Amino acid sequence: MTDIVTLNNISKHFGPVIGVDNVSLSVRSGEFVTLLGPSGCGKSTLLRMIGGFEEPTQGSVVINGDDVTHLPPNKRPVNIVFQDYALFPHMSVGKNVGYGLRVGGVRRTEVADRARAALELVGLGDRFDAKPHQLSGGQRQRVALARAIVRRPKVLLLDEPLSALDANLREAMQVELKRLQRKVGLTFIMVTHDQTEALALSDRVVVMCDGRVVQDGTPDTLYDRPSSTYVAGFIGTTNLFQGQVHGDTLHALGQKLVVPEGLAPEGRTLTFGFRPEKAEILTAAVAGNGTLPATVTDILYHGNSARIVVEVSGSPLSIDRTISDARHASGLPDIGDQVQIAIQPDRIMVLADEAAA
Amino acid sequence: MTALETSVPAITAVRSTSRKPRRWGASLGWGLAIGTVLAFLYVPIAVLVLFSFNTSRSLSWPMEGLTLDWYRTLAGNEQLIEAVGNSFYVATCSTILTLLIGVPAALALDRLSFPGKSAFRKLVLLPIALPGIITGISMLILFRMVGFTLSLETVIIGHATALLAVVVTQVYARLQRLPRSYEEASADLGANGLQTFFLVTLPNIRSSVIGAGLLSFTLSFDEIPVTFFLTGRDNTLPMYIWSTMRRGLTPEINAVGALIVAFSAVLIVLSVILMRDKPGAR
Repeated sequence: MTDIVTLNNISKHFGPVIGVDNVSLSVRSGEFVTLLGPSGCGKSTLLRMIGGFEEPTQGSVVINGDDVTHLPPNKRPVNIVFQDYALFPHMSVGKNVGYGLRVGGVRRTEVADRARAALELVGLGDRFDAKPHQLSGGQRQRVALARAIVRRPKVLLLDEPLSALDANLREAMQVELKRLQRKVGLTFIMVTHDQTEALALSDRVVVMCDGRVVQDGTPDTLYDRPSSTYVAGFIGTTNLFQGQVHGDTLHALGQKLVVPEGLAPEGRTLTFGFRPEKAEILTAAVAGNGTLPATVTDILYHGNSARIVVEVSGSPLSIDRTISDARHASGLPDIGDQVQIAIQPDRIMVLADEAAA
Repeated sequence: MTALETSVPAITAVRSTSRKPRRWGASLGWGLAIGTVLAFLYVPIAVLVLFSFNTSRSLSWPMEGLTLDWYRTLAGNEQLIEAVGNSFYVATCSTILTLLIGVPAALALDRLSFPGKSAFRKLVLLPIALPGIITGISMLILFRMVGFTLSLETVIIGHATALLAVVVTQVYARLQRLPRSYEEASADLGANGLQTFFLVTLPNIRSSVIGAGLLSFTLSFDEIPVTFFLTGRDNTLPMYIWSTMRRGLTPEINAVGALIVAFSAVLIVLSVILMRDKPGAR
């Protein structure tokens, strides 16, 4: 697969403020890439530079083999779905979708046909003559999508596309976005601050912080092997603690844990972590090699799972247990119980770049 | 317990009887207030219109009889008809001129950032605070200096200057409420600057442009001070009325006034229809 978008050492300064700081990124054709980060991390600015709404202070933007760094948005083979959708209120849905074709000089009859086809693709073929204000939020979102793909761009940019929808609708739209991407085979670059959205939709997630890329990888890499406490903390919940590795033993939390040999450099104090679902709660009686004695302090019941908060040597750890049993909350310990914690050795993560001072 | 139960309905009963007369009083009061304001605004106009149909030349009550004679003399008064024509010419041209300058100026103020922008904004708005007589004199001096002959065209330039502030303020206010993403979306979809302006921006600021245009037209139509200094031998309607008034009030003037009132009413209705924002517009 070829690279459709390449960003070479892109920076964007707003006066003294650095919005994007020396970012390089390649997106392959057909990929669904998400830029993930908290607000103000530069992800939207990066997207806007791909779209042509901001000019980079340094670096270059290459789309489909052409350097478009200094080209305006209307000269780029990309289209964007704005956070507020930016549907033109004075035009009907059909006119909105056909707008890009109309200004591009496509014949009137063809404009209408292609607009209708695009609307049908998003399941709104029957709202051609409606005005945007007569549509629901989810429908407006779909019109914005149809309008952006009708010109068959090389890349579709999505700026927080689902943030204006309520929770239920958002989930349904996630499914639809993914389906649409598969169907049209377009390259999607999405910006979001919602980590579940990023994990659910993307082939690749680029985590950003303070204008820089902190990790770039597939959703499962980010989840299972976050490179830093920042990424680990941003994506999912992580139990973090400090420790030292000696051979196959991790000295941490005042206890000894079993880890694969060579997990981390010998004897250095580093930050380690594990995901709440990668540990098991055993009864106090079955203490074994590498298990940690713990006290249950809180239980949060979620229906299909429960989060059990325990204390090990004064540090709180969260542990998730799925409840597959038909009986309500069966098998959960009680608050105050003495238990043993067994962490899967190969699920212990080293957050390598966070060497403790 | 029982005492409480009985006392509650009693209280509501008292309240409901006392409420009705008070409401009557309040609405009567409001009605009077509104009536007074309306009378203050419209009685003089009503008198003007009424006396334009009076058979007698004297402005005394009661009227002697009804006639359309004054309108007939009006129709035969070439000077007056010429003045009306001039007024329409001046008002139309100065409105178009201010819109042509004012709308781009408002766009620049809203969309561009350039050094001295806030100073530019204040300077554009200043003429609205200046008395017309100052604008008139200063432009007269300038035109004399440059060697322009005074004519209706110099009046148009003078009016346009004074009206620019009206257009810029109104259009600028509308532009600020218009999401920037509309224009970005248009550019993203391949439209160039002109296409974006005519297909997206203008339709969305339409009501403010029409409103500013109609206001400019009306202001220009009845403008005297600037016109007084800048006109050559041609007269506009307000100037004509003003000059004939020196020979005394005539029913003919009343008839002209009545026609202007009718014309203004049409303009107002037109502006209300045209300025109605489409539903869903932000």
